[in-house]
Amino acid sequence: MESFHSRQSSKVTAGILAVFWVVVLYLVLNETRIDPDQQMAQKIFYYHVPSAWVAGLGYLVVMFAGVLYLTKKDEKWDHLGLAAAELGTLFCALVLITGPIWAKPIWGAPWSWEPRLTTVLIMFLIYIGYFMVRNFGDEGERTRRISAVLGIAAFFNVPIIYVSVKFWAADAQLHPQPAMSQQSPDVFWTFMLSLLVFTLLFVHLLRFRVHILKLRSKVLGMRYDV
Amino acid sequence: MLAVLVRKDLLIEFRSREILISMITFGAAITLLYAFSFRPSPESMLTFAPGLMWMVFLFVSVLALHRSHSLEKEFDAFSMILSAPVERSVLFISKYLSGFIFLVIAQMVLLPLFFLFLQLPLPANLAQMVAVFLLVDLGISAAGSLLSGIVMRVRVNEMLLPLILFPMVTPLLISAVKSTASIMDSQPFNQWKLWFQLIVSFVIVFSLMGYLIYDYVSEE
Amino acid sequence: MMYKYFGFFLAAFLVIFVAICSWIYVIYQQEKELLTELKKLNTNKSEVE
Repeated sequence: MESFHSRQSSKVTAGILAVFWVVVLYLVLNETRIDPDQQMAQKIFYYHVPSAWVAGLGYLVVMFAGVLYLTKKDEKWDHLGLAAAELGTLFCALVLITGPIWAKPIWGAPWSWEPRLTTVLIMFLIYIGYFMVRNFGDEGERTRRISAVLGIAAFFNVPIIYVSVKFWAADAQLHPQPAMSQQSPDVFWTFMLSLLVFTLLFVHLLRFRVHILKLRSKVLGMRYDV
Repeated sequence: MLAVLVRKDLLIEFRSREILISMITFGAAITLLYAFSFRPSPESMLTFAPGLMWMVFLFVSVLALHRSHSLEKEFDAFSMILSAPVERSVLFISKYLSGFIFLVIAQMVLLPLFFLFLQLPLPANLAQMVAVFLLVDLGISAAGSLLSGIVMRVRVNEMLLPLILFPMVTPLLISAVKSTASIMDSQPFNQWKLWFQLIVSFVIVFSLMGYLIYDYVSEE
Repeated sequence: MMYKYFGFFLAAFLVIFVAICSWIYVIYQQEKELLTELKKLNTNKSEVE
């Protein structure tokens, strides 16, 4: 087995990602309009929203990987599930950090029980539990199975969590709801580009991580053979 | 088969009564702590009571869920059940039902205690209250049985179960508290219909999920 | 840069950038270790054979 980035395709993707990351930053700083009230703080949204999107995508993949692992029993689906859970939780944490950074100057208080942010917090907590189960279980097939089940159960809970939180704190409906289609082109296209970059980054990191998990599995197998 | 399994769980419990006794004593202890920690005016107490109430029930249900599943680990009882010609999903339903029954019995003792110690007025519409309570208990038991089945095979599972259960049941908790608050406030059903619907959705989703995937959880 | 709240934007951007880079670094290191161990195990195996 070789290093993931020794492959031509991986090098190219990584290069493209690096370039477009810089492009997005340039666009955000120079080309997008300045909001009269929020000014620079508003621009956090070009990073905050795509992070939330990636977190959701990650958890969706965990669910599908879980179903596939339970039905096909192939280890590679478990690798995919774990990799997606890690990435999903990483970006979840980023949403939970950048949200309050934006909220502090704009609302005055870093945290409010706003439904979307609260749902992300609950999902984050559920996935901490997921990692604890993985950690405290032994290395075998049973831990992978129960992790798959947990990932599936967590995902199907999300809509219920969201609806309940939304109506629980009806006073906390402060989260901006920008209608993307109504934004001016500079905002819209920069946002779309950022979304694309984040999605590509997710896919690339996912494949990288799965490669490493496969490698780890191979090494563990060989370690106890010799 | 299901009846046999449920009967077994209940019989074991009624012989030793350890689950129920621990639930009731722990629940009473928490209620006492509440009474000592907060001495607000009756109106404020009414505001907090539904939340405090459901927290007590969540905490005691963890006791029941944990104990119910760990009993199976003693003497390797679980493998023996698995070797019997019973569908795993039926196993889930038996844990689900016995958990539900324990919770209801504990609530029948704890609820009057709660109202007494915190000096709360009785709600006008008792029937609605009972209906909501039964449904939420089903929800807690469904999610709890599935999740305790999951964590039971892992080390440190006494700590893991609440860690995973509590975030998962937040929507149920929110809906239970809101419904209870509305009932105690004598609001008409239309006002809190949404929360009732959420409770029902939660019960359906987790009952179905548990029934369908408990199989994978309980394989050796 | 003379716009309001630039510090907040910078903070948010840096958090995201540093977090992603750290994650890449951590798993990259893990890959390196695993590859060296794999190489070692492979040479051991071929010596034994």
